[in-house]
Amino acid sequence: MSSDRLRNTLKVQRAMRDLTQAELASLAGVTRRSVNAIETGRMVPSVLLALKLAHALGTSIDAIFSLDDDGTVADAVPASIND
Amino acid sequence: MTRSIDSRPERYLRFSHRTMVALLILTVVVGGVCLTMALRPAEDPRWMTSSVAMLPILIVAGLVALQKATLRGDRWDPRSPEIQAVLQDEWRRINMDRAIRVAFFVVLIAQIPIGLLVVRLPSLRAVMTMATATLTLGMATLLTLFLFFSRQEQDEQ
Repeated sequence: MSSDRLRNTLKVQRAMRDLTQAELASLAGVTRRSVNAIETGRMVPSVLLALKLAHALGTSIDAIFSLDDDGTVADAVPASIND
Repeated sequence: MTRSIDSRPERYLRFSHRTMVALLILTVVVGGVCLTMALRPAEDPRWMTSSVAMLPILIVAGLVALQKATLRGDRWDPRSPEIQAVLQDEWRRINMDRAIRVAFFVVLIAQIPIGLLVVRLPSLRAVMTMATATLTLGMATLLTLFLFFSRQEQDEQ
């Protein structure tokens, strides 16, 4: 588990495009629960899922995900490295 | 943003969740009956043995009823992209991995109390009871934890 906290602007980016969690999930090929878990900071997505979400929103990963500067310990669950 | 959606992926998601709940109930009930039969074979009520024989029919009937009530006419085709999205969902896989890890340790630790519970039984019945208790506990822990980890904080559609 990384010691850095991953921040994300997924909810903002989604709202800017007037998409619901279900619609974004459908575009990215995942379930609404994954989108919800990422938005609420309970899950750190894999690179693959982050790319899919960025692609679905028509933006880059950097625009959605960034690291916290203070290096607080994250309580979110990272995706397995085997994924 | 609270657009209420009852789309097909939502129904598949709900079906998958309800199947897990049904599996948990089934595990507890069947495990309980088998444990009772293993621990007190002389006191087997007739309904217990006959209900075990009826189990496959009950499972199929329950699954069909659940499918009809939840999917409302949609088919559960594992090859469809929507069901693939549900089955290969990253959040689901992470929660299953976490649940498997914890359930493994619970089962390992539980071997001591289960062993103490069956220490006075004849060896064959002791083995049967240990196996049944281990399987029931493992499955029940796994499914409970999976459902707990998969709970949703915010029910935004």
